[in-house]
Amino acid sequence: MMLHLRRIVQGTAVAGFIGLFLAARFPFRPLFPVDLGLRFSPFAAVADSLASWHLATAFWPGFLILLATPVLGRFFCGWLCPLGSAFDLWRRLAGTPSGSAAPLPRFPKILLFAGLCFTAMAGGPFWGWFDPLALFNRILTGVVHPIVSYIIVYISSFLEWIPGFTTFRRSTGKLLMPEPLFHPAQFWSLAALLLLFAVLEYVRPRFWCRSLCPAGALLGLCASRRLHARRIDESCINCGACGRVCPMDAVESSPRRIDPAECIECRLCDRVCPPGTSAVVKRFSFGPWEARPIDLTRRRLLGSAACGLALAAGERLLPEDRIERGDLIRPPGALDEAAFRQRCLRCLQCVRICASNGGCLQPDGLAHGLSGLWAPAANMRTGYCEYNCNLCGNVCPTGAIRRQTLAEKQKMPLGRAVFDKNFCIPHRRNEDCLVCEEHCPVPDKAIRFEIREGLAPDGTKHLVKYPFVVPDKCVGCGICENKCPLPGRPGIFVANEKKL
Amino acid sequence: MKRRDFLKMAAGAAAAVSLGPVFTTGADLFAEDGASLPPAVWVEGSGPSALLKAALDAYGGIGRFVSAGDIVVVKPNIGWDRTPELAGNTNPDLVAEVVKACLAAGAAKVKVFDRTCNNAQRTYVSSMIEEKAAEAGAEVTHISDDGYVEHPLPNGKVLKSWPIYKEYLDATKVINVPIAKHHGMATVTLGLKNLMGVMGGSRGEIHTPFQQKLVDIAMHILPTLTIIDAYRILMDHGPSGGDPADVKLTKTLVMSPCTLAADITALPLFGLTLDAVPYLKEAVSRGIAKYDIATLQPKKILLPAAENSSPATTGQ
Repeated sequence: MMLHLRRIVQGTAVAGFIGLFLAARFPFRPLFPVDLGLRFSPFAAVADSLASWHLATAFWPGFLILLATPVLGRFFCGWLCPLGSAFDLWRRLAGTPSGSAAPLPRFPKILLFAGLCFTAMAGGPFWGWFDPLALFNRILTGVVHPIVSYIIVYISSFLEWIPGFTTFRRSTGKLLMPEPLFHPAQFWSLAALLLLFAVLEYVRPRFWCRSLCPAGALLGLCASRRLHARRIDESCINCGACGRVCPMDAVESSPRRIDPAECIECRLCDRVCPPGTSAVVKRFSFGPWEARPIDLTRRRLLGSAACGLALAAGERLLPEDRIERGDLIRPPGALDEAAFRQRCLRCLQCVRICASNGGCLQPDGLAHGLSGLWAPAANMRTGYCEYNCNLCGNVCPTGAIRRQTLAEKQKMPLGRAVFDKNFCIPHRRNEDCLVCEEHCPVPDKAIRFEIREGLAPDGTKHLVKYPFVVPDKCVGCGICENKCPLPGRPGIFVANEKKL
Repeated sequence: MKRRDFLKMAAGAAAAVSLGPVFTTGADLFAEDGASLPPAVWVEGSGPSALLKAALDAYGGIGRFVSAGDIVVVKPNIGWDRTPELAGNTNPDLVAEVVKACLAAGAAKVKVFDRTCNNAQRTYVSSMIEEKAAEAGAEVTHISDDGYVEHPLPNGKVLKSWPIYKEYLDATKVINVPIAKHHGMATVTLGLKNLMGVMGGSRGEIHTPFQQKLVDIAMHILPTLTIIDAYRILMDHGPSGGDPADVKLTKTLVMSPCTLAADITALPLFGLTLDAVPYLKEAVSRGIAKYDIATLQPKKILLPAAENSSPATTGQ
């Protein structure tokens, strides 16, 4: 009964999360803020507060979960977390072993949590990688959604002979993937991440949740003194079924008891407890608590804190690669680079919504340093920033991209366009082109042209329109770079020069 | 409709489809009384709906161009993420009126699409063309990337083939509904250049050398009828525009079965002559006009003002 209820809740939570993901698109008319799902993460709530030195009020759902955990336990992990639900589903689909084998160390997640908290506090930019909800959204954006859309589009191209199918496809296609397919950068690194999770599930059920998840660690710490505890009473016949079925390895054999820091309230133990016994009960208690001592030494904890601080320090000590930074274009309204890296969850919600607009935002690779991995950066050759769009700032859960009105955004340059006259067609071949000028969205044009005599290849002189940029007008939207007809390197590109 | 009539109509439509593309010539439209019909019509002084009606009346109604059973493509300019007041895209009310006229003439289907410059979702919405054309009964779709076929250009000087949108080629009738706009590179964009909206591939490449390439392609895909929307025109910073100060309310419409004749008729809107627009000169020299351009005498119609039209057209 409770098991079914849990599955319904899990399904609803996943559907809701994916529904918000799908609603992050143009036209933007969401019923709920589309980053609401991401804000349920208790880990991001704590880490973002530490990173910004302010209470991250946007993460109020995460804080609520945190407050409920001392009573309800790690219900978030078993009932709400879409990543956890994905693991459960994957185990069912793939028939991977459910239940416990040899115990897995659970202290790494606590070390990871502690280290990430320290690094966040010290200004390090690494914690966002490990947030479970951001992880789920990242893989959804970068791998699952593009592939699923591609398969649907591909299959439906064979079904067009069915009367009315084309109309159906067009209307559903708009819901699913409003744009021509999104071509995500970093597909392979994110696919590798997905594969890693799938394989870990074979090693142990809920490997990530047991051993690595920093949100699980945080919730475990809150739940270890929980008031409404799950216990095994005297009627237990010591059959051991609960221990075998527990995906979290939360049941200890002697004495038989349930570790509240690990139990995710999945209720599998309830189900397998033999009829007539029903030894698994819940009752309020105010101690003595039955939490297993965490297999965590003070030395390890200090070590992880030191590592976290060292990571942050290392990141700060790195020399700035000015050349690489010179072509790094962040979303419009992004915080200053260091703060942006620190606050960005790498959830890729901005990338997702950008795909239904100009399509310039892509998850970054290692080109701009390790700490830039998977943070959104504009690639103006794959897309450009729509002049009338400010949606990326509207879907950022942490505010790493500031929420701006359209008027503010149109005055906030992403960078500035610069001509590469060795490539630009009019400048190098003395021929008219002006595709950049044509597309420039600034009402009085940031790209203008002068008409001068130019030498044609045959030696004759004729009038040519030579484009140039008016830097003060340019908003760095990059449509010029995107539409430049040159096949490879463009004749105009956006440089990270907004402060000049 | 009697069964016999229907069968006749269906047979006629089938014949029209099987006889191949309509893009070679429109001269047969005037086999009977061609001499009495104007080569181009300039109508001025009212809202889009009245302008269209007056221009069509000069040709004896839409029935001269669209027959029962036709699959009609109405090709507006839906290039830019701009509202109708900014004159970046064809007037949505005019598009809707054209759609209605085609359907009233018995068209089996009217399709509206354009390959946009900005994001298609945004442009279809902000231009209001999606909403109004669909309301008028058209099938409004986004261009799909795999919808192009390589189209041979036997008379091309530079290009010998170019991908063209298949639904456009498959139509039995095409009505080209551009908006008259300033254009930095091309000087002005009208009917001929509006056909770029059904061209696939990298359209940027068409810009070098623009005149030859545009005419190479456009001459092979000429529409049945061109209706130039000049209710509001963009006088500067085109083709994308964005500044209301660049928009001029001219309340004009130009129509011709010959795209080139329509374009040349519209030039005075911008105070231009043929000499100032190299790609139109190139088109004339390539002989794609259906009428003698040197002696072109468009019929001018001045309408009494004050047609109350819908909000999108009166929002000036």
